[in-house]
Amino acid sequence: MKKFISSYTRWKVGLIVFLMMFAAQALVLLPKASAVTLSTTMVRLDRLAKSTATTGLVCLEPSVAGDTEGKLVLTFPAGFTVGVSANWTTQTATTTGWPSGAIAYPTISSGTASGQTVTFTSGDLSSSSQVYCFNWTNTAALSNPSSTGSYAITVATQTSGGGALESNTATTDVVDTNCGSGSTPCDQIAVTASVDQSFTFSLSANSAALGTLSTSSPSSATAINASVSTNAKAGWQMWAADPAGTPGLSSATAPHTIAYSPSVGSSAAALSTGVEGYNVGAGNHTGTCNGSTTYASGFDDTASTAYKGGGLDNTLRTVVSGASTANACAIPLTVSASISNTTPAATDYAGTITVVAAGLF
Amino acid sequence: MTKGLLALLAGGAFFLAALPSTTNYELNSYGFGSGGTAGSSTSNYSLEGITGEISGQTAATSNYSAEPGFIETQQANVPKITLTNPSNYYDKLHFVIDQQSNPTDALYALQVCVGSDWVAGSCGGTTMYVKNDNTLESSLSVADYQKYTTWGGSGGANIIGLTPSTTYYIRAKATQGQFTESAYGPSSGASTSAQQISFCLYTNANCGAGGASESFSGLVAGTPATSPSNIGVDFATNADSGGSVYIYSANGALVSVSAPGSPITSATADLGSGATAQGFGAQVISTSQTSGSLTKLSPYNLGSNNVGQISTVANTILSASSPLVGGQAAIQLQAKASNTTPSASDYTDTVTLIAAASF
Repeated sequence: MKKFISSYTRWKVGLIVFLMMFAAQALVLLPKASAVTLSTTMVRLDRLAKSTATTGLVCLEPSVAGDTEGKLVLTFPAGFTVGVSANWTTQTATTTGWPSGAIAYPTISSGTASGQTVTFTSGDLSSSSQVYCFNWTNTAALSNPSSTGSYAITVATQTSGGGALESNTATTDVVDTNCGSGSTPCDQIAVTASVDQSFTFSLSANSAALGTLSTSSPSSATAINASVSTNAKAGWQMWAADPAGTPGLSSATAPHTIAYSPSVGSSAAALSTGVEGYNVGAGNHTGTCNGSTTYASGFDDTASTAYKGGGLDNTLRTVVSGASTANACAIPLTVSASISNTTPAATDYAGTITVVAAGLF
Repeated sequence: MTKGLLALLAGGAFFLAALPSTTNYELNSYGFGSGGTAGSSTSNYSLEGITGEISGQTAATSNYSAEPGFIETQQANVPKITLTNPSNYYDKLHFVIDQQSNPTDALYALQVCVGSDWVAGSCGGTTMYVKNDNTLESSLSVADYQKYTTWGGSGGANIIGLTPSTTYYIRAKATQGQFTESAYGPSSGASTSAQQISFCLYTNANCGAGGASESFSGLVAGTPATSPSNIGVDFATNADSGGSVYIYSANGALVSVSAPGSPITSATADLGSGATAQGFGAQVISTSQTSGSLTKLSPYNLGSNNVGQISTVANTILSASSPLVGGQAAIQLQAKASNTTPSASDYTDTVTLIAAASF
């Protein structure tokens, strides 16, 4: 033993110590063996129901600013059906719903699918304190697993050459499809509503005074607005009739009736000076009259011709109709009269016009 | 030098040999200097010139050992360390060092064995070290020796960047000045949780009761109506940055097939205002949670008849910025028809609510 020890010299011991220290230092200087974890990772599936095609949102925040990213790789766990590359279209224009402060993923490309992995090329993520996002926009790109539960999707950044940089997983919850009545997916609410029918009708006045009639000119009363409000989806219709036994403007004392001119069923026409006649015309509407408004030719005075109107009888005659809903859609109805030299004088000329309307629900 | 080396080798042999003794005496402590200088150093390394003195026998239990000798007596006390997962962490674990009476300027290095404990001093998994940024790497450098206070003191600190659903074991060693580094202390193990996110949508009393429909029957022009029940949302996640719930719909409106062309379009509006003829939207009535904070976001966070738009693009309606336990929200839908909203009994829309977490 002594002989063995004596063969060592101080320099040999020193050499051994040096070599041991060198080896230890070499161990300390070994390169990093593990990929760095992304600071934040989110994969939002726009549909969570199982076996459902979905678009989605990918967001991440790198933890290392110095890396030069060139690729992004999504790896979906077994169960997801990854569509072909042509379906992996992306965009960053729609930022609604992105995390606060997130910005567009730089120059993100469409994806290239291979098995459960989709690879995108991208620009460099220059900041380590910034969330970058992009959307994939085609539901044909991905379909959820057929089983409910949690699924961890791996998100990894790479260099343009495919070198691993950072990675993390983002877990999502896939839910069932048999909620509600049994057919509503468990990420959706089926909303139904009905809107009650409504219809209101009014006349702005119930009397129209023609005053003292003159042979020098026909007379018109102030127009009475017949207003319709309805949510009838097919529109509405307005009718008028003269319920008198002898329709027209009648005097009991004369006795005499100024008949309708033109007669019922004829196209609307203006009364002439010195020619006896009585009519009702429908002018241009005001208010909300959705869709088209159609005037019957017998009462159409939308051109605002003075003393123009049509005749009535005991039968309700269509005056005007609307093709859609209406809100205070007002039709001005104007009665006009004219007398001749032989029209008996009297102060009790009067008549009654009935106006009704209805919705076509 | 030869004498010193002889002493070094002989010292090792003495561990196995009986102490020198006669009938009356026993030499309990003796030793040899290593010879040469008392110590020598460069800028990076130091060599202590005195090595190994035996001052007793090794005492050991299954967990601890007391080594005799000069080197052993000048070493720092072997520290303890505990590793826990106090809050469903998936990417971090919490450690607290027990200094074992080491001085305040003692430095500690933390070694981790991933996936398995040490067996007979050998890591059965992957050996890693806690770096001074609290991440794990396979190498240990001088900068990774940190003071007790730097490692979080009595409150401890978290190892970050860990893998979910993985068991980690940790042990610590201490040093205080030259030639004082202790052996590693006993190990402590803990496991990270899996990343977790749970989401449940319902219109009945609770998640288990299900329900997935809301019906506005008999909307009257000009009068806001509320959904007959609230939409319940249960949401929880252990994601560090929390998560969000989003809302969108198929039409962005209540649409009738029998009355086409006149949808009740969704909008952010006060449906109680006469200025809003018609509309459709959502309002978060309430939120609650066991821990964390589930927050209702604008424009869904107002009261009365103020609703936020349900568009065809997903909008964030609820959000949590940190792990959320037992998050619940009640969401009400409101609708209003105008005088000219066509009457029909087949207005429909499909509202989708989804959740995602930021891990």
